[in-house]
Amino acid sequence: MQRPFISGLIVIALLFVSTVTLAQAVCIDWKKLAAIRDIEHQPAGKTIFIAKLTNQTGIPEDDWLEQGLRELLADYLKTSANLRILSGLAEEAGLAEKYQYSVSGLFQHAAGFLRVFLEVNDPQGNLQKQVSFAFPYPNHKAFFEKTEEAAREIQTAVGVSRNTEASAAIREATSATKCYENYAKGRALLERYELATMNQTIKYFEGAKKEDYRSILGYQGLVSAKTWKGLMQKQERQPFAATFQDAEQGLQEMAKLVKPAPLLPEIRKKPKPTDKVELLVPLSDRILQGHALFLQSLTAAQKKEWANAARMMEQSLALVPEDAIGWWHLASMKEQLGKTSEANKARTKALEINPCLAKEGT
Amino acid sequence: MKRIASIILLFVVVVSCGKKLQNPSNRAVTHNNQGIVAMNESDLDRAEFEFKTSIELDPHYIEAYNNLGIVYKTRGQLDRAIPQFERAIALDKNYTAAYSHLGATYLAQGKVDQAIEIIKRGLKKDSTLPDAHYNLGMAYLEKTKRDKDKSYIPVAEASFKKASSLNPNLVYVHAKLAEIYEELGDYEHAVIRYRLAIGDAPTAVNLWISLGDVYLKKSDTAKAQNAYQKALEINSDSADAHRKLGEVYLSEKRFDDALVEFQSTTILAPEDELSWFRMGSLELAQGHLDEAKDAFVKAKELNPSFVEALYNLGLVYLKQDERDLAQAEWERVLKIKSSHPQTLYNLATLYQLENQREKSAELYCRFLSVAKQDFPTERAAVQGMISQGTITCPD
Repeated sequence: MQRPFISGLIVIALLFVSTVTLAQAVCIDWKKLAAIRDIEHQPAGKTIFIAKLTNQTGIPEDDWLEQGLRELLADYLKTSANLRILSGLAEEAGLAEKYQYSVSGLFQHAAGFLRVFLEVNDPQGNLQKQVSFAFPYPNHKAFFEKTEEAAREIQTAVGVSRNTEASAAIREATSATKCYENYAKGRALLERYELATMNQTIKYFEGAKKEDYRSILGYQGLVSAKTWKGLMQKQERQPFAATFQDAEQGLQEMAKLVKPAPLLPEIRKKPKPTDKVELLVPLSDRILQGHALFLQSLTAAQKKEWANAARMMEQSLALVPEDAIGWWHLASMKEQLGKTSEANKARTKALEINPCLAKEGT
Repeated sequence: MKRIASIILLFVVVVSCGKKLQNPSNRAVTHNNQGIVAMNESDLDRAEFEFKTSIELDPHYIEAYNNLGIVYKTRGQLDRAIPQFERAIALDKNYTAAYSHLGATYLAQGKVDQAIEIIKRGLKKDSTLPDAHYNLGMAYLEKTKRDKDKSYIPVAEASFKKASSLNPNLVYVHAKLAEIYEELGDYEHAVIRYRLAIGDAPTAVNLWISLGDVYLKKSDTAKAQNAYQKALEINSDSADAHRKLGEVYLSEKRFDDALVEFQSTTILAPEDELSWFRMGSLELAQGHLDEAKDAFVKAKELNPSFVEALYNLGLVYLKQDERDLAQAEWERVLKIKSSHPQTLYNLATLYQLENQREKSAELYCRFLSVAKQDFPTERAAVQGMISQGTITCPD
């Protein structure tokens, strides 16, 4: 019913670029958008802020752990159904101010072991729980297992639920610390949301893939980096079709090579734009799916099928609400349908995301 | 570190004692051997690749599966290691080394009974592999800890002895037996075993230090000192040996000598919280409060869970009339270890001085319940308060 979206992608994308005058991405606070989305998609409940860890031994090669261990711990904690986690992204975006607990800590690397100390404090700084653990490092799976145990202790200490299956999926994503190191470095760079650093981000994820080609991490990172890059290019009036195409190829490669892991979500061979949307399934990249719908919407608009175009654009925006261009198009489509109020709402949303559209958007 | 050392030693044993190859091709053997070389150089990625290549060339090459399993086990990838050992056993039901490694892997997973069962099964096929007896001993030791049942210790001891009799030159077996004897308070046999281990590995600093520790427990400080000095002759940069020597001097109240040793340890191993703690304790004993505080703060920085350092830091603050700071440190101690008797008593006393009667009484009562037969003076004081009706403890 739906034709494969790659075939018509480049042509449509070029058409799109040529017909719209857009603002520069500098107008968009990507970090904040991403952080808001991350927070909104976490369950309500107790909130924990996880601070960057301190590399006490000061070995420069271990610096990545300051952020990498923090995010691994955050990922484990996020598996709880009633816990909201604020970590690097939220802090960078200035959205990590209100929380019930904070986790801070340090690590030391000596004699082939990594020793980690974590503290859970209330906002007044009163110690609630102290967790310490040590494991052979690097190149030992205990890195993932011990961090998981620490997360479990913290979950117990703050009285929230645990999801052992989701936690195991994180633990089993790779056994190679080198793979995770590359993934963590890529993720830290990705979360700066700067087009200028996207190529380096991609290199890190390629590195993760190289270290463990059967692990989902490298592929997932690559797909994320490329889709974000595509989305940002789109807002900056740069060619973006090839980037999305590249991301889709990455997804296909992932489906082919990633190890079968029963605890991970089923790997989809290809994103199907008309499928029911599952927002938090990592393997079906939401930006890629949203992009497919975006393109179909534009195709419908070219045929002046405005109702159909608007419906698909709305679906696209449900997946990628950060897409100011999408909101701008939706406004135009709603106007064509005579729905002025809805058009105004969509335009307002576009301007909220990208205020520069007011100057250049028409 | 000891664990890593034993894994490497085990590996060497397996390679040398492994079953004769079942006519694998020369090329497969070459890759297996290259894997062994890589493994011995700690290049696990390369070793994995070589063993896999070997298996690809000869899918019936038992040793290659076994070695691949060892690579996975060394990396902590226990789920991946198990099928390799199982495959080796499936190919040769009499290949004891694979049973032994499979058992050691189960042990690492905490499956003690399964470990014992599989190692025993291997020993029924061939009871001459020292490595298997050693792993069986390790499994029984774990069972002792898990079940809190000391009746398994003689079984573990017998297994280690068997391993030792099959190969009297296994340093790690002597060392493990020595540890058992030391734990049991049989210092004489502990010394014998450490001496045997040292006989085979005379330059092993850790063995000399362990020997010194046993002498120290025997209150034979002269011999302990000799053992630590021997360790320093072998490696003058051994922070452990300097620290231990400092402890000997401290026990002899040779404060200046002890200070020199502790200072050496903090320079050689600035990340070692124990060295800072010892130095702090020494300074505290001499009444050098500022120096003691600095050392304890450093120990706390390095290990925020180090309750003894936090407790002593509290003592320093108290001596400096910084009561609030002392209270904060001790409250922290109790967050980490709620049953720390000295802290319970001292904090209770602090609360009492501040007229926080309920909090004080609660801590005194907790102190009584954890102190058991220790701290007779303090217990008597608390019991006195109870008999005077100053505090009431629940039954």
